[in-house]
Amino acid sequence: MITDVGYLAVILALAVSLYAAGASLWGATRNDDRFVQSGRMAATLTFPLIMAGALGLWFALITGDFGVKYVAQVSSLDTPLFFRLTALWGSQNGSILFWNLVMAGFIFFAMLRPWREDKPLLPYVTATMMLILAFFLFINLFVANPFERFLFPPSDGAGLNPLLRHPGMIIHPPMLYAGFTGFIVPFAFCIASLATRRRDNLWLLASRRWMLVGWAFLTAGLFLGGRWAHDVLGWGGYWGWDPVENKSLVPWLIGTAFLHSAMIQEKRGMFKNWNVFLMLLTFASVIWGTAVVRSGVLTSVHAFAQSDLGPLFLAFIVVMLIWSAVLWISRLDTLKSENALDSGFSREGIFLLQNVLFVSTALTVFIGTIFPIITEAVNGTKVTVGPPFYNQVAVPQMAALVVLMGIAPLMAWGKASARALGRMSIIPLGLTALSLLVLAVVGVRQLIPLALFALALFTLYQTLIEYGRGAAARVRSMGESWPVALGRLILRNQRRYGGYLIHIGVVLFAIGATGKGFYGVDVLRSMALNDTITVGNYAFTYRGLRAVPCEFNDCRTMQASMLVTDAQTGAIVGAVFPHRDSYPIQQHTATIADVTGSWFEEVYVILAAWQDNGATASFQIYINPLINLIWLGGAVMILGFLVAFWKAPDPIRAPRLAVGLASGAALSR
Amino acid sequence: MISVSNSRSGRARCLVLTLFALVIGLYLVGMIWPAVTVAQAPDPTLDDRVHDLAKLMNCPTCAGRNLADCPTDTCKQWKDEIRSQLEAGKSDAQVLDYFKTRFGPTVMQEPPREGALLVVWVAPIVAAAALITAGVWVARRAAIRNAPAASRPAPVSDDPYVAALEEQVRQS
Repeated sequence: MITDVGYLAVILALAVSLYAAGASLWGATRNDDRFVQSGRMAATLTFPLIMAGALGLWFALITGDFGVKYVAQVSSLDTPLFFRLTALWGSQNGSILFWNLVMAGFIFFAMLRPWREDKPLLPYVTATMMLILAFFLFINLFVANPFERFLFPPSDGAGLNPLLRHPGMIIHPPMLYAGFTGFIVPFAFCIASLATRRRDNLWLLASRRWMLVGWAFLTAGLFLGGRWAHDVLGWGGYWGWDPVENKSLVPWLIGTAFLHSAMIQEKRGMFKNWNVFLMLLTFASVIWGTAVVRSGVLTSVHAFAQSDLGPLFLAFIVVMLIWSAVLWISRLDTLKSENALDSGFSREGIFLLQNVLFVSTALTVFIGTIFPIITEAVNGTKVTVGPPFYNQVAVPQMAALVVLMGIAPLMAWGKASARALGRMSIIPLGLTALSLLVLAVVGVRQLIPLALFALALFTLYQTLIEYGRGAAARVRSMGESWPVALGRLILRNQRRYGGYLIHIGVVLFAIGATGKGFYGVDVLRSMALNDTITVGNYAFTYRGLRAVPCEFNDCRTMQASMLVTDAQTGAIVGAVFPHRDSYPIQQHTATIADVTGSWFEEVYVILAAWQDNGATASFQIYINPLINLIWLGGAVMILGFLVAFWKAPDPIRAPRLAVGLASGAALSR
Repeated sequence: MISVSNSRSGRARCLVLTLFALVIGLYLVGMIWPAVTVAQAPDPTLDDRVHDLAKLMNCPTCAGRNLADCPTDTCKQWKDEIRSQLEAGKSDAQVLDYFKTRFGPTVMQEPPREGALLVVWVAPIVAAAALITAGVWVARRAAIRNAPAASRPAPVSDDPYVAALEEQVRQS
């Protein structure tokens, strides 16, 4: 009953969203604010309505109402409460409802904005958002309906996909969904600006913070997804260039390019057309990505999200692309640059290069992802474009981006000075050379990893020096202590120094990825009981296999125990208990690794197989150096986002210092 | 003035070309780098050799994972096949060739670098080159059009300290 009320609410949401779009457009053409406001109110209403739908489905999941097909599909009598809640997005139909919920949430907050000087954009923003929401609600109601009921309800359900039974499941999909759907706000502002033929930066200024929010959620989602893969998929890695991973990376790359070039439009009034193009491309790639996951045209570890929605999404994306391209091209001339580029050798020039590299990297990932579809269409064979391809083609472009991150702050706006660039890169270059020497002594002597470490370290040192230079200026002129100077510097320039913090996070990630990629060891060994083998600096002793109670009722667990010691000294490093869970009902096996080692070097062990009740067993052993820097890098990126985004209370930021420009001039000497 | 402007656009070209060379260089090194870039076990046993070969291959039954990581029965048969061929004394390349001729080039993790499939290897780098060239063209055209114009004051932060930092990087 309650569930059906939810169903009804979602039907209403579709009707309301169509009304909101119609009323807004009518109000805009008739110049009648009453209709525009009515459309805005209606748009605000979609969130509570879809929330009611989600609550209805949650109610069915919690009470175990297996009459609802979706509930029977993703839960069973013994599914714990936690996974009943996350089961809302545990399979296709529910996850689209959840997608709609998150998207409507963003719309809700966007509609509640004060809408002062940007009021002329309102009707078109509303209409754009509502038409997109209506499309997804349409799919939810007519193609992938989570409220559908059985004629004869089963007594128990199938249970949640074992792969999705991980604590990360409560957070990874919501983060990604928030990332994708968050881009709807800047996209709608962009379309509204085009529709009203505006020349100014209004749409950009109004939506920049929304873009940043979407970007941060996407970043967090990507890192959490990596962590989930590392913990659950049992391949020791964090990223496999899987189509579904790629489709999240493409909008991230384009969105990151946009966040940077938006700065140029804001500061210099340039790149207006390019920014519109990037915004349209970002949102198009989101819809493309959704189509890729949902359509099942590509094989992926996320196969559980497959369905026959492909053609619908394809139609939607084609319509959207054509429509936004026509809109954009017809407005090209209104978006002339206010300033011209003085010189390519400037910060604007570096930003342009960086933008181009981000887009070409995104294009590389896109081409690699769709290539199997193309070859299948051409000659019927699905060629695999696996990790080796991306490592060789996309990674070099990413490495170049890391260098640009280090150089950009040393380039002046307008025209840069080569001498200043040379002078200011002496210290970071020296530190990098010193570090390379240390690395070479320690034993890092391969060319490519050394080069990659060098790029990352240069950028790391240079960025740290940026903080140092700023703080030093305050220490000298204000006599502040170093921590106070650093704190005030950051609080008065949150975007700048938050951004640099994000750069540091990226560099930490790059160092971790290089370490894991080039110095990671991955071996498969069979061992008899009490055998000892040596891999790298570790000795592994197999101590036996036993059946242990499984976390869930529908599975059986075999757990191995293994002692890990230092191969040289014999000191105990730790014990690992990797296990295999088999789910007879779902015909699924999960290999759950166990880890030990140190913070800098992870030892990751998987129980691959066993014979004769454990008399012999084979293990896959990974030694993952620096992998923790990857997680740390992700955390630092999110921290950097918070610094850039959080609005410090005015008393901290605002007081203009009396010293003013005089001291500023004195400083520059 | 004009000569200054020329030397600046010369520097820009220089920087862009360096960067371009860096990307292409890294890319080419990546292309000719041996396909097995994963770190090898220190003293490879037969297990390790099977495992390393399997990492280069796809399993038909396991979506989105390589043969080594895939636990299905079919994959186990394939891995046993690799093992028995290696035991019989075949080289790594011979084993891979066996699978390629029997199941087609799609058994490999990376697309073959031959014939029409070369497109996927070349297209991204052509796209990158085209985009960078377009960027350089825009920058240079702007620089030429702008050469006689006096340099406008660059945007300065409202924080005098940051303004001072920006001034530091302007000085030659």
